[in-house]
Amino acid sequence: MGPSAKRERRVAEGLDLLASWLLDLAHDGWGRHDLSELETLSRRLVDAQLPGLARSVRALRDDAHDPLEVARRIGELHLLVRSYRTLGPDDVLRPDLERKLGFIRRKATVLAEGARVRDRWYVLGSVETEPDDEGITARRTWLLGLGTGTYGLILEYAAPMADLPTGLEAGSSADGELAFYPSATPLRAVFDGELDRFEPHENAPLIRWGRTLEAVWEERRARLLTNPWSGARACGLCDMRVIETDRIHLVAPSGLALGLDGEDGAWCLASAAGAPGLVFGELWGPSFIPMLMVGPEGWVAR
Amino acid sequence: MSERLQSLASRLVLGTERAPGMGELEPEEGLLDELALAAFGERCGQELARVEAPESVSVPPSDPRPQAPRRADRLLGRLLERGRGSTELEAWIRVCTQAGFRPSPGHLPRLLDLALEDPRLLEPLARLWGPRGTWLAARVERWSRFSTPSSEQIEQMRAAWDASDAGRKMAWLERWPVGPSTEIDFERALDDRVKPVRALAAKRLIEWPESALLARLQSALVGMVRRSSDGLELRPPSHLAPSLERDGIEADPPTKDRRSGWVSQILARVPVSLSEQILQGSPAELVQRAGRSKDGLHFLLGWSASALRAEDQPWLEALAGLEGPADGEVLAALEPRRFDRVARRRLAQGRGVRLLAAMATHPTRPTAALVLELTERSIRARLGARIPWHGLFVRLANGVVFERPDDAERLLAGWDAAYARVGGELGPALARGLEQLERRRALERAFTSPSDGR
Repeated sequence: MGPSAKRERRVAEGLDLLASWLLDLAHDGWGRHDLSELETLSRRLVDAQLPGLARSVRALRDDAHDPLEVARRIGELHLLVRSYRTLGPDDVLRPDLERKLGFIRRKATVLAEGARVRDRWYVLGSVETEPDDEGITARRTWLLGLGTGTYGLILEYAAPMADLPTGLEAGSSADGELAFYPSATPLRAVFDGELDRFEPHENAPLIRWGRTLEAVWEERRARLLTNPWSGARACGLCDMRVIETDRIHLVAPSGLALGLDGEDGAWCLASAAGAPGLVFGELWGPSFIPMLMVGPEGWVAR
Repeated sequence: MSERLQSLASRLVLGTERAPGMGELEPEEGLLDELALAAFGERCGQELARVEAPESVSVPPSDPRPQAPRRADRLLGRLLERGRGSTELEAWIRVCTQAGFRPSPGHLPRLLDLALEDPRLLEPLARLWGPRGTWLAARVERWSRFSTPSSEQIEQMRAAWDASDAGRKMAWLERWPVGPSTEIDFERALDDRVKPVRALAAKRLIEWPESALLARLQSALVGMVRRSSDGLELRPPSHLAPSLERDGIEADPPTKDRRSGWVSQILARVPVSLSEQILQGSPAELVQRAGRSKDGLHFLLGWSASALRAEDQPWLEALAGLEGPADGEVLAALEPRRFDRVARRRLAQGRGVRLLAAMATHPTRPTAALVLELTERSIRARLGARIPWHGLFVRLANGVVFERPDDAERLLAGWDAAYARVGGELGPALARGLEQLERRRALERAFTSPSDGR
């Protein structure tokens, strides 16, 4: 049995294990469930080379007190298992499912085989995550192709106690090609070249890539129908006002609003100067992480 | 949230054993399928909230200062990411304020947080963030102490004053502007039953030169100090008047002679220039007289505190001439030219070691020429372990004032040459200072290089 067949067998065993755990859970009920089992199951999924699934199982612990969130997560795990088992070899969703399961695709492979887009890539900003259960930190850096309006996401990770590499500065840009990881809705990418080619870019033509919140929301819905596994995505929202009610919101001229967390809201208040502006950020469902604002005083990076 | 998902979640909590579905052959599989569909449907069908825009939106006040150049702004971003405690960050704040720039509004939240984490930096930070920072502080609860309260807020606090605890009262006393409209509130706080509340009210009233409290202290001081034949003399009262105690004078100060300590406290609170009027002399003459008097220490303690608070430069220079109490703080508060004069006088009098020790522990602002001279003298004298050299050279590198365009280059070349000549402890210390100086130079360039688009 070759390494590939061996892996497939282990993955199939891991999926069987999870499927049977889900059936038991549905039978016994979450209320009677022993949370310590989650750790054991998660370890066995790692052994089966399914680290993505293992993370999703561990995450159940964090929401154990919230039955609704548990229900959402269990539903997603079940959908993952069922979808992967019925997937054809050339299914357009295969790379996205493999990513959710935790398959690793090497950068070199992406550079050699990934679909490419040439453009002047402008850095909108980045978001760093807190260390996860394993102490790994991540940075999501968002690029916008100024000629094509294509968004690209550069993901970087740092091992426990290690620092992330120096990041790209918001407001800088470089000419070059992004090679995209395969996906039904491509997003994650690798920049083909040295990152020190990025240099400050004043007065970049960002305005043309601003969309209305209504259009962006509709695109999100369509994207989810194409690819249920698509996650957060950068977007540029035009004519957004920062409004303080019981919390701080970004509000479109139509009144449609995105709620902002404390830190994000304070940043928007400070940067907007009370006037409507174009805001680029990460859209996570109805929540939004702002990264760059273009208003009457020019652009403000986070 | 969909009702369907809610009902499925309840069923999942109970399990199909206790909550079986209607006529399902495989109830577990059925429940999981339905959960998958409902969760996905919820994601796709999510609706956004609607918020009605208010008739008017609060607009921050304008700040006439130009925004810091992009290069400097990016540097600030990197320094803020590293967090508090960085000498470079403090240097950035100082250089930006001196150059007359304001920071990018995007940095304001982190600058306000920095003031919470490191209250020592509050004053320079408040100067840096300017009116927009104060406006922002008023809109976010955790920064509210940095904002100026509105008249409506003041009225609310007045109504709630008696029912408030000491912590809340002190938070308000810290925030209230002291002036004609609020003096009555501070005076009321002088009668509070909690001592820290009274002390804070007295401390704040001193900030307003026209306060009745200051007038009371000034008139009390008139009979308590006088010139003697060769020096100065204290004539403290036999007992502390209740009115003075109400105005914040400690009945039992931590001094050997408590009665003299009362006068020293009054001197510390009133403007130092008042002593010039009462005692009929210039700052330099009065400091010299105090130096010759048996009561001199009480005068010097009071004057130092008052001069430091008001940053009264002639008085600070006079006090630095005597190396009195709070010498390090006095040196650190001196303007560069005055500091140079004081330092050169001390060097000429052979008092260099104490000067260097004070400079190593306090952020003084010497000129580049003085720094070069001090470096040469230090190398020649090989002063050894009495000076914390690493601290000294790093402090010098951060605090040095460049007065001429080539000052930085001359200093870098001078330190480079000095480093090549010395070894032992001084060599590595100079190397560290040199490195810091290079960074400082890069910081200066970030503010002075040709415009990069703004």
